[in-house]
Amino acid sequence: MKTIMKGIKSREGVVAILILVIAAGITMVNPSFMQWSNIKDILMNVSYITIASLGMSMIIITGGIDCSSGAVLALLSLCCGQLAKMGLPLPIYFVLVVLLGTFTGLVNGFIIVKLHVPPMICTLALYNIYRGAILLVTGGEWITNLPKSFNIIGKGDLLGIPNSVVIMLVVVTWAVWFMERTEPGRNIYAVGSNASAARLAGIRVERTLIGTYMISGGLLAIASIVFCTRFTTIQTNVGENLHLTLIAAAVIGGTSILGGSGKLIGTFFGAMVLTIIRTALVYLKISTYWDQALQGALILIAILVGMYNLHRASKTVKGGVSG
Amino acid sequence: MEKVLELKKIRKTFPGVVALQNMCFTLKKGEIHAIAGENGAGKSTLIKVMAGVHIPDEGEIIVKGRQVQFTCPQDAITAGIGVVHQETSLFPDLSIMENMFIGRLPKKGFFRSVDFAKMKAEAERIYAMLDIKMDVIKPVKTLGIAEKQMLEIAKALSQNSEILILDEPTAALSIREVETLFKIIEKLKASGVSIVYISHRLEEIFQIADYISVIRDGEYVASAPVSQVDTAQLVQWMVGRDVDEFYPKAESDIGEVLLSVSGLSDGSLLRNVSFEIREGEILGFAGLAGAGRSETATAVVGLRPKITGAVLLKGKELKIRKYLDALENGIVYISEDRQRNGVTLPMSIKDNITLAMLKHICRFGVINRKKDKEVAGSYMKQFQIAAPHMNFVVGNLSGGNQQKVSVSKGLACNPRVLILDEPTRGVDVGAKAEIHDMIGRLAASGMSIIMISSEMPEVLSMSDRVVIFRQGAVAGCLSREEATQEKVLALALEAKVTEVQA
Amino acid sequence: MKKKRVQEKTIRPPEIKYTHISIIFGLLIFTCILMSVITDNFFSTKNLTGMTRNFMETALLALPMTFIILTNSIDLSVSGTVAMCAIFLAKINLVTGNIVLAIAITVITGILAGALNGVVVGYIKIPSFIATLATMFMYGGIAQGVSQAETLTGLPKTFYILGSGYFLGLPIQLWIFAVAAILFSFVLRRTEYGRNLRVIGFNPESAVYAGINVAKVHLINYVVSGAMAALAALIFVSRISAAKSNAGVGYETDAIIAVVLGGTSISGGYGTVEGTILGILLVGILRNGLTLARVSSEITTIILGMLLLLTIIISGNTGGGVIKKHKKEK
Repeated sequence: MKTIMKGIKSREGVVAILILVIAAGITMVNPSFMQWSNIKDILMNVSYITIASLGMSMIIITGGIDCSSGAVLALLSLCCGQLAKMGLPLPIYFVLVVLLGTFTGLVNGFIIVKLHVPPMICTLALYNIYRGAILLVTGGEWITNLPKSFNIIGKGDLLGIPNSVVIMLVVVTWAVWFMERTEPGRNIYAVGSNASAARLAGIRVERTLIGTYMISGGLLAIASIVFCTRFTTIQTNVGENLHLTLIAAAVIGGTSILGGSGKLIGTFFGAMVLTIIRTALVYLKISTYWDQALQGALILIAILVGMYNLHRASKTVKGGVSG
Repeated sequence: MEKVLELKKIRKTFPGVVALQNMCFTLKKGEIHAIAGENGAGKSTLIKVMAGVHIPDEGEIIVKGRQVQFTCPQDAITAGIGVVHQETSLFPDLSIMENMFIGRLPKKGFFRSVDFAKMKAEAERIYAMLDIKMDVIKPVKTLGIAEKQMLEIAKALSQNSEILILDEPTAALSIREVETLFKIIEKLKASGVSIVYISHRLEEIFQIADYISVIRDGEYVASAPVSQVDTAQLVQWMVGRDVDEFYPKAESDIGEVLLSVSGLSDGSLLRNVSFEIREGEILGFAGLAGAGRSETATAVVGLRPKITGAVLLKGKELKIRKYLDALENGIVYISEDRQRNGVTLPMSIKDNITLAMLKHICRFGVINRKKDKEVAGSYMKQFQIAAPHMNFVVGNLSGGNQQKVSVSKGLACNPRVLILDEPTRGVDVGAKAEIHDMIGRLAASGMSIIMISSEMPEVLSMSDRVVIFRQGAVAGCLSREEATQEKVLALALEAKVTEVQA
Repeated sequence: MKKKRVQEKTIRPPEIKYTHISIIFGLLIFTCILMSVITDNFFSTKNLTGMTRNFMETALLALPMTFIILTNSIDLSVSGTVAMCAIFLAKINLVTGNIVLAIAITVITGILAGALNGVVVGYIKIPSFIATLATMFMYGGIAQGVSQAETLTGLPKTFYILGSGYFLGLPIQLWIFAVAAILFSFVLRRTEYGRNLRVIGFNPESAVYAGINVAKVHLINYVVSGAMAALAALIFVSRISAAKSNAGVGYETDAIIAVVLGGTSISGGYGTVEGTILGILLVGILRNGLTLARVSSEITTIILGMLLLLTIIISGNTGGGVIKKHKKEK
């Protein structure tokens, strides 16, 4: 009972309850919201966002940020489509795309860690470079005429559950286990919490940081595959403002923007909140052109709440010392 | 006795500076070996070489008869060297047990996941050994300073270190916690652990160490069994010449009460602090680290929030909400942490000196460049700041000269009350005398000066009166005639004189 | 060393990176020569005028951006503010038919948008990159929501003078920029505010200990940035005779690139307005010149992105990214 109370009181618990409250609220206005087809739709929408935002969360935990994810998602989706079109079997192009994603993470990590460019600036520059490169290579043309088999992941299902949801659940489980229960995961928290102390403790800080960006790139690749295999054509401008959504999911889920703390399960819930709100806009007949403003406001509110909690926590510690 | 650690002819340079050269050091099994030296003598660099943080340019490190080469901190830990660092190197977001084991978390199973049960048991075992009762799954951000320090020691012990390096372990501890620490050190020594002990407090070294080595300007000076040296000898080794421990007494005419502070509380540390200071008076603030001296000063000038308390200047109550309010009323605070907030290192001497008083040489926010240069030039001359010109970057000056710039910055505001926080910390002997001389002259000119200092001789010989702080409150106030080292210490420690000596 | 008398006049203030500036200056001249070689009409009056008009909005944003980056912060929201202001201007004009009222509200909107950034960054102390990223989308999103992504027109003809008129033979916005640049340069060089900016950039804690109200400086910076964004929006709408919710997209990146190319250290403290002007020229000439030379705009984007990275890597004064941030922790 006590642990349940504690769970509810934690940031992740609050967000989880928030999801239920929003869902209940919309259902009251429009009961069709609770239909299985709609829930399935929400889950499929949330799957790629969740997978990608887990990586973003890890990066934010290290104290960094990634603004290039939208462009990378587009790049990887296009590669995925192109490889499929070339007739490669699914496992092969899956692996190739994940490798490519990991490589983009390596590029990020290398520039940030080895060349000491602030993460914000580095990824902003890379965003422009990737977007430019995509348009240059494709000439803005979409990839069409994809083979039928291409949609296995995106449209198929396993025992009635969409494949993309299955993949999401596997990835979330792995990521939570990785961050909570493995040494590299704990090292990521340590580096984000206090990098110089991590170095003194014998943690290879640079390797950990670069590794985080690489894992994040890998996750982004999986997200790209889950995302692009739902469509029969792949556009060159997909993933616009994706980084905003990912950051929103992470900070709403309780990841501290100052680095060092945050739980990945919270990020999962954060992604859920965002997607449900988006769907809600449709159900409440509000123009989706307001979506972007809403996400921006949500990020700001989530950070303000996080700051407020931090402020309150530090006050109690000071009081404790004097007592 | 067997030699467990030996350093031979170590040399370490950083771009532009030689931090260590010709450094030798020998540690024997089960020995407590103190390293003494002035600030900037190279103690921290030496420790970092032992801990594998810095890689020496030349020289040998020999652990238990085997020559080793540390390329990273992990190598030193593997070799059995554990370090308790000066700046706490903890992770506020991780739990106590994780802090203890991070970098070498125990793992289990096929997936090599972290074995939290084993880690918890191990952490609890070590805490039990140190007689600390605490829930080891608590996050470190909820701990106080002393608890963090204990955790640092526990962390070093958890590495099964045979050599333990303690870098200023008592700096933030209360007297009782120091006693506990010393008991632990004795216990470790008895179990065969060798300890390198770095401290500024000579009395601690005499109390606990077996052997002492002195370094100066990055070079080895001398070493001897502690029983065979006395303070005078040590100080001479440290500064390289005989020094008079007594400073000139400043004579000045003491006038009316200028500033009076009453009932100052900040809701966390400070409790009902009251004191007053007269014109031309030097008021010393004594007390242990963390007793609330700097906190009082910063609360008075508005750099730290306060809950209650009145500040009266010449009987008129001032409303000080931010530091600027204090500056405008002629109350200036010169910080103890020079590099962090006393001066702005990448800026020029001129810009630093006129920084806080810029308003007075501005018209509609535009700086009068002629006056800007005049002010800076006059202070450069007055304090004989050793630099080629006033556009010289402060970061390239020596500690003493940086301190002079920091003081000049405060004086340029034309203060009536000057609060100096540890004005001579980390400056060399020559600059120290100059600063003392200057404080005397300022007081003689009618300025009220509050001097916060941890050096007892400095406080006693400079001050007209001494206010002693203890645990965030004023424990007593002694006039120059009454103040003796014993009495001040007794008030600071909340102990009878006999107890202190025991 | 100590005894050596050094002539006062020859001493340069240490806050400016002269080597960097000279490299950029060289690069600028090289680019100009390159442009005149690979294009036929680069130095024609028509091209230069057009180029100036196209680039002045970013240039106006780069000035307050210099101040903000000097204090070790960033303002990504300017593009969103420009879009929001542009839409408000056109919408209010459409609804009320009163252009003066529309302009007034636009300017107030810009100031308020900046003030929100300033409060969040200065007083609540949220890292500027994330706070202004959020507000960038908020403001841009409001523009999108209000306009429903439609292009708004219907502004009075007289209003177009701002974006396409001339004064003494030069485009009006160039005059506006010149006045603004002189003002910004003067503030940075000669005023207390300018010196406070540097101190905050170098070491915010020592600024507090010198009695500087750091939060207020941030607030003023962002308010000025917001006001300049409103001005840029006015010029933008006047220039293209319409308002779109995607107005200003990419402006923040170009402004940041110009500032960083101009020698302002991304970790604050070092930098000049003159440097930023050089940076603006370089970015503007590259964007325009490469278009003239029929290089696709994608390549220009790639080149500018690389240039941004290279400048930071080579100038080296980056503050160590993630790692330094944690050293500041107590």
